[in-house]
Amino acid sequence: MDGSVVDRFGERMPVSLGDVSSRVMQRARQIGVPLVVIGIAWYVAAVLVNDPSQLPNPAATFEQTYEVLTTEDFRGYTAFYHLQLTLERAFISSSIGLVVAITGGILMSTNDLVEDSVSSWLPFWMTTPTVVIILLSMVWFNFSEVAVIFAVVVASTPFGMVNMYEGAKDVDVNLLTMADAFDASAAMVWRHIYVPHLLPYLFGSYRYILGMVWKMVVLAEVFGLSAGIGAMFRYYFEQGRLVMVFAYLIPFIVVVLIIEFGILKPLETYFFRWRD
Amino acid sequence: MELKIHNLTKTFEEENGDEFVVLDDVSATVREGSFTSIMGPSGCGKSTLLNILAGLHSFQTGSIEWRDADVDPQNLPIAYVFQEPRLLNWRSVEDNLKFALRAQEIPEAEHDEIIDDVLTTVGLADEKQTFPLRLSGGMRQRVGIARALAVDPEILLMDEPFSDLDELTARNLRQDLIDLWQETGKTIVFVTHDISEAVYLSDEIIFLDTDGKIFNETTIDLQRPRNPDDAELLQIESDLMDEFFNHMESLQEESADSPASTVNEGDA
Repeated sequence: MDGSVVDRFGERMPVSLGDVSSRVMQRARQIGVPLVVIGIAWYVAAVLVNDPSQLPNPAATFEQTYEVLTTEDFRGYTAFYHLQLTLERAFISSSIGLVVAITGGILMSTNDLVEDSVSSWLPFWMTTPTVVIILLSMVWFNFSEVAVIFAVVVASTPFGMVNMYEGAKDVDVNLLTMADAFDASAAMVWRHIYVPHLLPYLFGSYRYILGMVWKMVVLAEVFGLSAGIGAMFRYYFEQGRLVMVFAYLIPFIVVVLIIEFGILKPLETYFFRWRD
Repeated sequence: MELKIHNLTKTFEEENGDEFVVLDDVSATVREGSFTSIMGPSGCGKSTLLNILAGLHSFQTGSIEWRDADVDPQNLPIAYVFQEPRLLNWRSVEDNLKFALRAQEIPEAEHDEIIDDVLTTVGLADEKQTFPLRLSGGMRQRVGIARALAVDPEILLMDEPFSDLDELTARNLRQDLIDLWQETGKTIVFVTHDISEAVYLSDEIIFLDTDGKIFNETTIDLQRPRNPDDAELLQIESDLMDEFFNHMESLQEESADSPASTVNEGDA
């Protein structure tokens, strides 16, 4: 077994995580081409604007990025420390958000009372401005870590919940009948039908939640915390040093890209290889 | 030895609260080892009858007997082949078969041998690791048949398994099914609305009408192997269709003459 199968047309199809260089090249193209285009556009715009306080050029920004990553700031921390804080907050809040979304979505699809009661106030929940949620949360939880996590979970969960709810409702009844005809246990039905069926919805929900989480964590840090990438944005923005804002932005974007293309996409490719 | 259905009645409740009779006092006998088809127009209750035998539907009155003893359909030794293959697309062919084997609590140690055997039987020995969506429609239906065979049922229930396939594929699969049936000696109860298919495949055909009643039971006494284009077979098909249409006409006449229908027409 070499980790691949031959399809009806004689093509070999990759089926395992380890399969490899062509996929890596494809990913590199997916990331590299847009980055090069953005880099060129950025350089051209910086030359045209010709004012580093409005738009620093890429070279100056990368130089500052190297500086903030390798030297300590006025508090004695490098950018790595701030990145780590932001990532921890994002990871904790997106994980809690996902768990709440899964639980809520499945409860909504299996329990009429939950469905009726949650459905009626979900639109209100979904349309409350996230800035308001962040500000209230900051006041309620005294500008602490909990405030960020609470705000992010509250704001990002309903979208994930609706997604999971739609997924749970959409399970193929024919498969459930098949399982019944073969006397499959409830545990088997969950493991082999519900969970694989819900997995794409779960990925969709996590992607959505994570997308919101990045923005919200940074925004919450801007508003009320003293450390983290968002806090550094605020600090240098108030000083009018846009190049430093960009310098902190670069590693942040790199980490987000690594998570997307280094973890989420390969996992997605592996889990959904049966669709190819 | 036989599978007997005694005075089976099944009703569904309609949205307006009225009862809709799907099967009306149905009694039939399926010889063990025979290939028996249940034939009838759409909506006549043939799939419902199959679902009752599979323990998937309840019924109001009647009983089921297997080898001279009354049985709860839940305990009939059946496996089901559906109209659509109903495979777990996210599991390989092998894992789809394992799903049925585990559900039936067949010891893990036997799985590999059983899977190799049944996949060889249906001609898919090389597709063990393939995901269903990479197979053609006919191959997927073969996996559905292999899954049913894997649990080694005494009775194979098949609900229009070839109706979604093109005629060429369906014809090949029918021939393969006959070979498989003769090889294994299993009792097959096969639902179809295709008279040609029923006559080609069956030893016995049970005809249901739109009132949920059996109006004809026929033995197809033709030698095997059969040729689907054989003149004698085509003549039987034609005769049976004539009987079917005559019966349907008489039902319509009865319905038109009945006081209830007169009232309904008056209401309309």
